[in-house]
Amino acid sequence: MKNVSFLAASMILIGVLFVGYLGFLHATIARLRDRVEELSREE
Amino acid sequence: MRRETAVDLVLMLIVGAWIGWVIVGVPPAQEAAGGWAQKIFYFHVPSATTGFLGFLLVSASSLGVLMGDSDYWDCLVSPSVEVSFLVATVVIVTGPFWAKPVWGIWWRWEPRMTTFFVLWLMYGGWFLLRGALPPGQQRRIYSAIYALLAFLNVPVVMLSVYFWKPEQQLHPQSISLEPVMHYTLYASFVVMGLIFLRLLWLRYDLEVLTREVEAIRS
Repeated sequence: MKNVSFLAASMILIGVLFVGYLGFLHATIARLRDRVEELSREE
Repeated sequence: MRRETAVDLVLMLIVGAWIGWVIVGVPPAQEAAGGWAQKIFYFHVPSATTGFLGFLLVSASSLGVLMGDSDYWDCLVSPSVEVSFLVATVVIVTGPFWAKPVWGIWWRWEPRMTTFFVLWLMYGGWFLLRGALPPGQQRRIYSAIYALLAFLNVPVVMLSVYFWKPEQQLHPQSISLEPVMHYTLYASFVVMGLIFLRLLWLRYDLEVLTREVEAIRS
């Protein structure tokens, strides 16, 4: 099990990058969809 | 269940199975190759390859901006630069965690590391250029030309192990793998490609929505 901490650390960093970005994209898309609906209703 | 949720769930199952296989299924390499840390290879190498293909997509869409319908192709440039840059960041982040146990150092300015870092900085510069210019045709054209120039560094990174003297290199010119490691590497290419495509798809949706909001406002 030598060097397993290096593997764990890099996997955690990759997870943070990908999952964080995925979450950011989903949240922003949801917010923009609401905004489009809102603006279309106002028009 | 919404289609997007289903797609993400399927992708998460695939990624989960892949991570499980990398941790439990494939045996760790011998100590000289890093032992357990060698498994970083299954994230590091496919990320680099996916990043290169992503930058190729950036170049293709940038050519589209210069030669065709600039507004249509520009919709693809930002998403592909952003997702490729993220994947390249994974390469930069995972590299030192593999280098330390194998080579005894976190970082050295050797050809492959240096050229890749320069490539990462060049595409990072694309965001600065994009942010500095007002929206419009000029921004589309300048950022497309810049992206095409940045791509010139991709073959330099790929061939850096041959361009410079062997005594300057840490990265090997070729590697020998057991069959199970080969198959795992191929699977890793597929999974990283799927992650890239999913993120690109979402980022493209975001770009289209952003433009929609701008169009309604103006």
